[in-house]
Amino acid sequence: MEHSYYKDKLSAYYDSELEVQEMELLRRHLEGCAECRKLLEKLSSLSQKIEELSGLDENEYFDSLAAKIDNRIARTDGKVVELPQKEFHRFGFGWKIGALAASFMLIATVTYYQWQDHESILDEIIEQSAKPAQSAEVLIDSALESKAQSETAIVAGEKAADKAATAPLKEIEKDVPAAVAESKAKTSPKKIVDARELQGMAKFETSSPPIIISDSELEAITNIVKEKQSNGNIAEKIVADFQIVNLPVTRLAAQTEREEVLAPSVQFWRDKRDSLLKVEAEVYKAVSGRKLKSVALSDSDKSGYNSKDSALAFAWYKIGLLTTDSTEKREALEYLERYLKIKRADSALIRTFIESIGK
Amino acid sequence: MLWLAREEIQPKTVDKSSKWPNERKLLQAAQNGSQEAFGILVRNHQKRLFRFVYSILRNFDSAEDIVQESFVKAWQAIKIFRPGHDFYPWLATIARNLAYNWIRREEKKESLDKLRESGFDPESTDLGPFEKLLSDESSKRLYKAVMALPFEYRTVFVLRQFEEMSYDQIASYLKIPPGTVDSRLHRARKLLMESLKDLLE
Repeated sequence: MEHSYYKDKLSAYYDSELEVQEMELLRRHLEGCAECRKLLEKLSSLSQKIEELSGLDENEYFDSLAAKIDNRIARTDGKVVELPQKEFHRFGFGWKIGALAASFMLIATVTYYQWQDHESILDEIIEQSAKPAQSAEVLIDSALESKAQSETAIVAGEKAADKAATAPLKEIEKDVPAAVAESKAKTSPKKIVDARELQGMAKFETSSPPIIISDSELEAITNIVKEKQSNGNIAEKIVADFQIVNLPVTRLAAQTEREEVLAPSVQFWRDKRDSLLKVEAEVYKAVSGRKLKSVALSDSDKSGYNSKDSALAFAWYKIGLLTTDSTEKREALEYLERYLKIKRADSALIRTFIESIGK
Repeated sequence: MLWLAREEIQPKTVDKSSKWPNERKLLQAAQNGSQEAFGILVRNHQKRLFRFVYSILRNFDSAEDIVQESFVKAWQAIKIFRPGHDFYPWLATIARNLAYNWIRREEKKESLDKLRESGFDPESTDLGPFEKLLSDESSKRLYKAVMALPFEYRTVFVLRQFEEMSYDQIASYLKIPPGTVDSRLHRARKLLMESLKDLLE
């Protein structure tokens, strides 16, 4: 029974895609199981064979393919899509990110949708660029509709976040929705939006509305964050650093699961945790200018961290740095050291994490 | 103990460093309108993209069309490409969407049995003109085995082994749960290891 369980996990073990604890369990099982070792060797040999596959030959064929593409590109002139960077960044995270620090539930909502639809935005833009522009009224109508949907989503996000809040979080979260609501009242609904942005947004499905945050909303949030940062105690400071906000959620999720209370909510917590981890990766990428590339921030720009483990490793690093509680510090160090033992990826970086916490 | 003497197999981690050191400059030039720079990007990436699209569709002519179309769309949208990111993943996303559109169209025509069949029979898999792009016999055999995989397994396997994506990335790319990525990959590898037994000994 145990053996067949591990056997099925070998493929993920080979890819370093199991969670830290499972990696360790499997490593131990391998020590005592010749059959699994044999299988792992085969897995490795298969991957090696695939890697050794030379690129495709027939340069003649690819020369002519490239020439065909060159020709078509020469003929597309004048159809190139131009979108001002600053508009595009509304969807990305390069935009005023620091200011949003504590409003994590808002960001969770925004990023979740942004993330789901990053591709479809692009697709739509490309698609639309080939068609004659629709009339401005139609576009504005659908934008207003999208905005209404987005407001519903924000409210839903706030409710979810309220539930997720731990004690120190609660205070901040209470303030933010109020501020958002207040500033919303001030925002004129007839916002002038770039036509191409609208084209991109117009076709959003109802399940994934875009979120538009107005400047006044942003300002309101920024003020709250600033106030909390200057007045708050250490706990509040940690909370304000929303990159680690996922940690209480993770713990809570684990606890809920263990006690088998509120079983239906476990999935909720899991989803919450997952989306927060992704938020963290996304935001950190934007904030740090990808300094943490080696923490397996992915190049393909979607899922951020390679795994939950590396995201958690980073979260523990932040905790270790910020906390004054020696138990927590030790816990952080333990996690990082275990990570270092089991995963080879990012070991240099993890070592620097450990060192700086040690100081 | 004998097994201790052998080199221990470590879990694999993927090296993501970009193969093309000048890519950033090329992208910048292409964004400023240089068709020449874009032409170099085409030449740098076309083989990889072709292999990717072909292994999804298993149809040589459609793969060629889609590769062409992807580059044209990428060129049309090059100005909204976000600097600091790698070009290939973006390109591959465009190609993936086109390929899946193709699949949907084919599905409507109800001639998609080849793509969805669940049988696994590398021996009788015909690579068609794709075979001409492969130089040696063992490559042909490996590709035949990979192409013989059922569609669902093949896409996951290709994304992991050819495209070196993480499970999370594959999951969000294909819009399936990460657990499904794990199980499909596991089954794909199992099929391949069985059929390529002698090569892997």
